Amino acid sequence: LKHASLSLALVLAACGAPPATVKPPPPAPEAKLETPPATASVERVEGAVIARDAAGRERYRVALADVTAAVPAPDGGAVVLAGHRVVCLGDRGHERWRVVTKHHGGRLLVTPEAVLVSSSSRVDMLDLVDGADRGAVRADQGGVARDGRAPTPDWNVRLRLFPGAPDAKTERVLAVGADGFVLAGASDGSLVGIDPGGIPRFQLGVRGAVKDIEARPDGDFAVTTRAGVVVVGAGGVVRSEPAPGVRPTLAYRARPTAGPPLAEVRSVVALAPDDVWAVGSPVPYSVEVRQQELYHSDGKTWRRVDAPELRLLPHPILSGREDFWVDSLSRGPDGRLLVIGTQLSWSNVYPALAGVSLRVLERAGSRFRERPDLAPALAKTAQHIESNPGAPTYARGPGGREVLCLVDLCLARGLPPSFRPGKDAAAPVSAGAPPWTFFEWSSNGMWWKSRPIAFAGEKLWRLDASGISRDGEVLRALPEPTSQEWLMYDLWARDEDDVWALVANAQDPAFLTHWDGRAFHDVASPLPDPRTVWSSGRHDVWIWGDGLAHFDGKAWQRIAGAPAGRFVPGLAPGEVWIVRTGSLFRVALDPNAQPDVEGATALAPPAVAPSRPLAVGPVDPSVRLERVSIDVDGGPPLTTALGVVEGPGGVVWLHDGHRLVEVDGARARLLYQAPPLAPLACQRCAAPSGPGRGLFVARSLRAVAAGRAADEILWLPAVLSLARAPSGATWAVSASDDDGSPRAVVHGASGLRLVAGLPAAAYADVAPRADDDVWFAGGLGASSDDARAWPEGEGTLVRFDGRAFTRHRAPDGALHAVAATGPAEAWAVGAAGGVLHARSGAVEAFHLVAEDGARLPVMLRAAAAGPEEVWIAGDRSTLLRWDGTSLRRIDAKVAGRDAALTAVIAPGAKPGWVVGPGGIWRVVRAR
Amino acid sequence: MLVAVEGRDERDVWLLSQSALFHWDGARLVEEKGPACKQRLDLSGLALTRDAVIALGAHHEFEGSTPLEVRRSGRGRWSCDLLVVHRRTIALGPALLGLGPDGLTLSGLALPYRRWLGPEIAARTAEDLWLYDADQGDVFHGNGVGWESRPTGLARVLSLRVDATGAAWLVGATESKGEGDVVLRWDLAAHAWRRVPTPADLRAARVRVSSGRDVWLVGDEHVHHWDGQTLHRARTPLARVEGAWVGASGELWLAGGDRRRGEPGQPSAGLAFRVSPPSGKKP
Repeated sequence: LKHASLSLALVLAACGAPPATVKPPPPAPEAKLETPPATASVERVEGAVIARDAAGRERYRVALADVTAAVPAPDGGAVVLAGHRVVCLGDRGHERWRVVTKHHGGRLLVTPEAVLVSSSSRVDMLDLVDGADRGAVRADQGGVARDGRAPTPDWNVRLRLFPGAPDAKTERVLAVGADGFVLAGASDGSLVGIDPGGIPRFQLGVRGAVKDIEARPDGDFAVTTRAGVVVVGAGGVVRSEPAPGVRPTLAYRARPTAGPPLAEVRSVVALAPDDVWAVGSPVPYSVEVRQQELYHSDGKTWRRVDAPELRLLPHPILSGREDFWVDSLSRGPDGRLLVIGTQLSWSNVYPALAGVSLRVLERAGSRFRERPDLAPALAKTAQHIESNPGAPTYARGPGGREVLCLVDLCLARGLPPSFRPGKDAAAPVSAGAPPWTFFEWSSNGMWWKSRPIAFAGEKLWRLDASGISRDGEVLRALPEPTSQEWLMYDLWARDEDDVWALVANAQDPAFLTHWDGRAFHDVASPLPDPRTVWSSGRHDVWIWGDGLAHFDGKAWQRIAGAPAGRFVPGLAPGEVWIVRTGSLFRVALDPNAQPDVEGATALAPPAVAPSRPLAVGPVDPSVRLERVSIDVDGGPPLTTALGVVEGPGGVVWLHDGHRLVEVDGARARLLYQAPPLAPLACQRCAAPSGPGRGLFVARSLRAVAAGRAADEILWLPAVLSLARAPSGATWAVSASDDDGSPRAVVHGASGLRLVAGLPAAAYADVAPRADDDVWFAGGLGASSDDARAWPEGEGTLVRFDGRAFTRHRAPDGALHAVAATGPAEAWAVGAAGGVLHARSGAVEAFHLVAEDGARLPVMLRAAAAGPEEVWIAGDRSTLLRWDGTSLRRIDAKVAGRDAALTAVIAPGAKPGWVVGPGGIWRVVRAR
Repeated sequence: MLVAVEGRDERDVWLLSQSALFHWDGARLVEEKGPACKQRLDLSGLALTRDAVIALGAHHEFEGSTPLEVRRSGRGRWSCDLLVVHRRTIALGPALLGLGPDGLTLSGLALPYRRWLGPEIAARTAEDLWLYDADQGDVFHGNGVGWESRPTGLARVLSLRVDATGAAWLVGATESKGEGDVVLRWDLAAHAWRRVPTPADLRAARVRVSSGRDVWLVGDEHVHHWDGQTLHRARTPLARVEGAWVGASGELWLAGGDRRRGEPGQPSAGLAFRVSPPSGKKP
């Protein structure tokens, strides 16, 4: 069954109810429920529900077990969901009816005629009068269906996702409003509104997978995604969006210096600026290649330090031998370097460890030795664990206090005699090496989970499965984590009234809590995946994990450009260090930081009309493609390319993912060679500003000067495109799905500036016609494959006019490229043959169709403006030219029939360029 | 028993057993003296580039298997390398395409797209990659910058090969067990799979193709040849087929053994057959 409204891009088909029998869509569901005459609210208490009037007085109380939802009914009664039962109570609390449903838990919504019982993907409708089955609406991978009961007919609306990852799995949720209107959401952030007759009325996208939809009594829907809650009203109007998260900042800069040449850095300690130590593996760890090496820096150069004690067995399994696995480096009480780890005893009977124990070395002169005071006590920590137990914990406090633990077995010295490791626990006993004592500090946690310890003044703090404890007394119990996966605790104590604890796992929202000497104060983690907390004072708190954040005593900020690596506490307030293979970054305030480019953010636009067909006409014979091969100085010729871009003066740069070259006639010179396994992971990867100079993206934003790649400017995740404005400023956009990461930056003569206020989205391309006429194209969602990111979900086109951002929806899916074609005018292209044309604030959405009207759902990857024309390139050898009145195909058979064309430069006075992974072609006028 | 056969042309065909490599020069078969690897070899696959012969296998240890690669360079020099991570390797002209958990590499250079979509791979060029999983019906195509799902509607895709024009051919199964009973061809113009007419009792596990007029379907019982119009059937000359290769002339090479899988008795002896197309283009 076809219907005009079925042209929504996400609707494959709808069938069931004939349109003639369907009532017109209901008016906007303004809050129409009458005020309940008596019962204003229903409160759930243990084993009962209590109905209260508007003044909060109890009207009646009814004993019911297992109640998960209870709402007032229009006649003064109440409806209660108790276990699998739905119970309808009259206005005096007497039971009118009860029925058993398939739901256990869920939501209730009561209308003047029906009770709606909802779980995430199914809503059952019961007659309010007698509980009779009125049918159900359910969602599955294929769409949404209504199983009706007369007189309501059945219907079935088949839905798809926005174009995205080819192996994307579909998960749908839905809710039904009081007026019968259905809102269905999916894992790609798509929402489709369906009227009670089964007619799709609108579609729109939100950021992140739709996890839950709640129908509100006022007719609005609250849509929950990873990004927060979006409230959607009638007709697809967005009434509110999630508040922005922690704001990123470019006020801090990560300045690189040489780092240890370790592939995996396990621990770093800075004893002084000219006395820094690092331990790790020079190659990625594997059972076949077990290595660990120690490096030292004198502040200038890293040198490997030979330490035979640290050599690992290359093939330890079933060897029956022992080796020493270094876990961390630390400063000892006398300022010496401590090497803390576990002595591993490998079984010769079964492929596992026979046992482990603590081991501590200290640096003495130019050698390492067993720490003499501690060595006789270490045997106390021996235990039978079949695999590496991970981090031993170490804490050092005033007055020579020290504590070392391996899982729950601890050695300590300097603790007061009153110390007990937990309520009713035994006092520490002699460890056989005075003054060291030994005790077992049980936490009921699994042996592989972390148990950080720290001294706050003279008090010993610990964070473990029991909670946060001080000198063995649990001050705060922690909720049972939903998931043990990635369970992470960290603890930092500066003084008795300044203790920070960090709790994170794979499922629950990560949080920090601060002890001010009297109470704990919780704060949501400013990072999505925090690992470490460190502070030099109340106005200098750092969180490291999936990024870096700083608290200045007033607000948290995400440090843009913080590289991935291992966190090292600073040697002074206001600085921290990040170490990764070959580099050590000092992160501190940048005295030359530039103010942000600020723009006001508008609320999301409402759902838009479906795109209109844009016919691709016959082949345009006026141009043809000529394949070229470009000789590169000092290397093989460049025969394929993923990107081509033209700069001022006609300078042309090309890249094939591994080489960035500048074309000079028929030859080219190499500007940058990427590491073999780290190709350029971007789209419009370079922006020349003249011969031999410009910017490019290679994991970080980098400069080219004098024909060579220069230093990193900024490490920024998922930067996909750069483009130079006529002012000389280069705009860069990111497709990162991390809301705390900058989505755009501008690099100009004065330095780097963050673009603040740009709506949250994954941006694939930017087209600055001027600094007050900039277009951003992308998608509301993002995906990545460890190599690069790309936009997904609903497409978004944003314009910045120098003061504010204006947003437009692309109904066919994510946009991948944009070209500014005139003042306030742009063409954007993307997934499924989607094309957006914006001019003077008006936007038209199109989708490509062939001459016979058949849709051409081809991925469009590039757009370029030419004199009075627009060029579009994409998959399946698609090359199109818009001449202002019609869209014509350019014969690209020379590229093959199924080739990807990834970048285009429109021909003008000189031939244009088209490139792809299969070749490089010049676009020349046909004779 | 022979486990693989690959060739560059009819006078340069390589046959692999679990522990030895043989070369056919058009007139005779010669065993190549391979390297003395420290580890015990269990070879299972072959990849040929213009200059190298690469035998792929594993070294079995107590705690599992480690992938291993034996390589013979053009000058006859041998190397024997343990691969730390599992990977598959296929030849693409002069280059080697590697497929590993970290993604795809071509001659050691990472390709700019990495998504891991299936363990089996077929390719004509690095811009025309096909990934599939023999236990699933999913097929994905990579065009050098991204992947596209090309659903088959089948329960399994047992074998997929690409001909010189870029058309993909696959043999798949509508059921989750047994050999394949469906042959599909990717129609480049229509951007859709087309079903190749086959008899209802078709049973095949491998497809080998040199052109749209030389498509071979190899099963336990029968070998079929599709000449673009007609499907011819012959009995499979081996009790057990482990490898198949088709040359530009359309001639099919089969390698395997004289006993069926699991058949009791002596170990299977290695056998190789050359099968000519019914048109008799070549004896």
